[in-house]
Amino acid sequence: MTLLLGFAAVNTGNNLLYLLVSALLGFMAVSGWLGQQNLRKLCLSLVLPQEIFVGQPALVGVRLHNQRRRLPAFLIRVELGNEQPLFPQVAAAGHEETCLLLSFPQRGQQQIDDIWLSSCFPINFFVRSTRVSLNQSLVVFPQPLPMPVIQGEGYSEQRTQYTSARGGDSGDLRSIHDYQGGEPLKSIHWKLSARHDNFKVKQHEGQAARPLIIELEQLDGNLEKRIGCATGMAINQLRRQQAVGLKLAGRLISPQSGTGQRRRLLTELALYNGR
Amino acid sequence: MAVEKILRLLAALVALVSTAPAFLYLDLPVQVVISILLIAGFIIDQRDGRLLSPLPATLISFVFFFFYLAQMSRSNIVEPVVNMLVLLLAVRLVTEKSGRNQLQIFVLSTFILAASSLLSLSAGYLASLILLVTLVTFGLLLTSFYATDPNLRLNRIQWRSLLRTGSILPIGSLLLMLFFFLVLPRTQYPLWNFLNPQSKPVAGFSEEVNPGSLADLGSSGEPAFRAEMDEIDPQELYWRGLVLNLTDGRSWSRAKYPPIDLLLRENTTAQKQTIYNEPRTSRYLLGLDLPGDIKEIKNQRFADGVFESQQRLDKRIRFTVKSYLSGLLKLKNPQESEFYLRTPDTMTQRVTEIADEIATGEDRKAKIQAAKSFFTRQQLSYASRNLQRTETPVETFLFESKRGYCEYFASSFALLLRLAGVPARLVGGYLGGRYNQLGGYYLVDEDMAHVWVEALDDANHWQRIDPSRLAINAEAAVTGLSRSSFDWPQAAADYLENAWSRLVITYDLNTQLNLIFSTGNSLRHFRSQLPDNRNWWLSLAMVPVIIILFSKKVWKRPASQQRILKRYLAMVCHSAGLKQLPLDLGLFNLAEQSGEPLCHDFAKIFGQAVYHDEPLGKEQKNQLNSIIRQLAMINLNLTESSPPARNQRCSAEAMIDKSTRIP
Repeated sequence: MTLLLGFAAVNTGNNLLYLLVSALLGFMAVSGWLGQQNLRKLCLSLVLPQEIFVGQPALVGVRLHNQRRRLPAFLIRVELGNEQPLFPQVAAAGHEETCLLLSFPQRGQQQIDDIWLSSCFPINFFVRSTRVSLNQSLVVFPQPLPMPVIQGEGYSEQRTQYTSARGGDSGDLRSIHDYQGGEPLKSIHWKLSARHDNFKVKQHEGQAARPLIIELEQLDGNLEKRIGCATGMAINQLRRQQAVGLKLAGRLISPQSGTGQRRRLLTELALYNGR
Repeated sequence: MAVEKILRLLAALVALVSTAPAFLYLDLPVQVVISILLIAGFIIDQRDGRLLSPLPATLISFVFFFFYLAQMSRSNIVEPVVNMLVLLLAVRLVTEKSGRNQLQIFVLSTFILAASSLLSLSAGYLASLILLVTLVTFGLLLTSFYATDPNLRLNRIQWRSLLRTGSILPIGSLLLMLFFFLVLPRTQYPLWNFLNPQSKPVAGFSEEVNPGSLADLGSSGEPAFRAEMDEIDPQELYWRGLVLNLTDGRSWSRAKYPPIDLLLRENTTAQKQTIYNEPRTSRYLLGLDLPGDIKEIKNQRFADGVFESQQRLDKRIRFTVKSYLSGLLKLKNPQESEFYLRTPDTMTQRVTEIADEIATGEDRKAKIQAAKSFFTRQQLSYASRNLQRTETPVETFLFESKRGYCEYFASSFALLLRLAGVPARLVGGYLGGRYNQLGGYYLVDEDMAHVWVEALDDANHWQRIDPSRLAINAEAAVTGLSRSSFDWPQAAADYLENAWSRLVITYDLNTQLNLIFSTGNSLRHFRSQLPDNRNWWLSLAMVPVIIILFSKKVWKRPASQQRILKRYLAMVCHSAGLKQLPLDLGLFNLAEQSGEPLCHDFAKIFGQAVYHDEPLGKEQKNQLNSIIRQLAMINLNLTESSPPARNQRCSAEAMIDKSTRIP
């Protein structure tokens, strides 16, 4: 349109047409600049759930931070595989978050280096894109497969009595310490607190359960199936606060309970490649 | 509010703004159709409906297109095109407002405004252009939102933010428009000039004086020219155009090469004028009597103080004139004065008798005085209506009707002088002008066209005589040519029209080249114009320093949340009779310790805003300020901070830090 009107302006010498063409050229220049500015100084981060399993949709938070001091960001689309969440507006020096369900097809260490951001702002004739560096890594845990817990084959029982590393509220008294904020009221040692300037809190041992060691080689099926079964078994037993250990390629991970152990076992299984 | 709703409103406004300049030039049915469909489209938009589905709309559009295509010819292109575009737009206004259709409305509207520039060169176009650019840019902006998500809704803060950022588009576009307008390439002879609205050149002052040929003197009121200059005595406003030196008794005409006159300008000061000439058919250039030199236009100077342009004056043209108000023209060779004594052989007896009576005067001065006395005696009146058409205009005017306009007075007077032996000629031009104080120029219109007489005195100097001033109603008629001055609105309107014409309409290749060369010259001579004063340079160097200091101060100005928080803490200190609050005392903790509901309310409102990373709204600020005011009237009892307070996450300091991060 600008070219056509420009052609008409030059050939008619009509200054009113020149004015219109000049305004259109000005608009092209300003919209180009605004579009380019719109994708500058944007910072993206993914808020990943603590556990991501193969084939199970994981709720991933996408956080877009606009680092510009004055100019808001408009219509930013984040290209994350098939998902393209849209941020209609991110205020200057502000941030916006959105969540989306992502599925990961493979277990193991995954690296997300760059993500493309695109925007059709300010006019829908062109879509501009820019690549932002993310450098975020995550471990995708194996898909847990159902497996009944059977004594004997596939796992072994350790007779030593284990104490759960995590504190609990039903075991023996482990220690007394100062109130940190956030502890339940029932854990406050009122008698002792009355004799001190601050609150004293009781900490009990967690209730220890019968330990279980999963031996991957003893399970049936191919490697992926065995890993899946081991994952399912570990999750189930740990959920019952049972101490679980793992034997992988001759290496023993001693049985323990708690979230740390769960993460450790799942990570080992996710990264295990058969050797 | 939904983006779609605003977009529809913008589309209707764009259509209205673009059609307005062309509306008067549209065919009557098209005017009716666009008016009705514009209103219908607006109403339908409010009800989320549509009047036409796509297929009928396309068919109707084709019918309109081919109808006006058939009407086009080489001499009639623009008007059918504008009508066609307006009808296509009208159809689009009542169809579904999809993103694509909205875009078509914007494009059609832009083309209609472009086409209207080929119909009229009015200054109103600029207002339409500014509005259109503003509305279309916002429209395109919202189209991108609409295309991304048709159901998108923005809250008030988002709208405000979008409006603020989006306003960069029209403002930037319009500013850049000025730059591009100056630099875009132009051609000397545009090929499609025939498409432009043709200015209608007026005849202006006549190149031949024919008293008795018209019963009524027409009155157009069209501007003839504007002369930029200082205001002078209205009696001196004689604008010289051409000299008529031949007469056949009925009419006067010009011999191009008369005897040579010399310009005497000793002890006179030059009066410079810049003339902005309206299009006219004649090539004679105007200047305040007596013009000595004309520049900025190629011209030929004749010996009798007449200047003729070497180019056509059929468009608005600017030139400068240097005039000598007290200057005189002197006949170089007195023997050649016979040229100005030529009279027709056949004159009526009454005229000859009067001429003989005047001729009895001793010298030219006495004869001129006698002629003036005769005119006064005759009780002639100035009139421009109901005049008698006659073959003997001079005799009829002097002895029978005794009514006439300037041509009657001047031609009769000059003829009598010639018959009495005084060389005389007519000068055609304009008398008077309305001074525009705002623009500093005289506006002279076509109704001020005037003819007067120049007679040779005994020293062979040409003296200006205006016989029209000898009319019995001269005060009301002739001096009435000097119109009453502009009132403020008239002055502003004429100033804008003149500025539009000067800056935009007449901007061409020559002006562009002059601008480039003058800018180049200014830059070349810039260094020599820089001041030598050391203090001046020191002051200049201080400017950025002051700006930096000031901006740092402004940047460091605490945000409104911080200011409210500081005021609150200060007020709590005051009410509690403390010099300073403990540094690690949090807002909630403070409220807990004080037991004061107001403090609880403050912590709740402030904490909610800070934890959600949202700036405080107007209502919240009012509430907080109200709390602070109420705290001034009560006494607080604050005890020492208890152990849990040390572990509170929401300390005042933390809040201050956090609130500074909030935009």
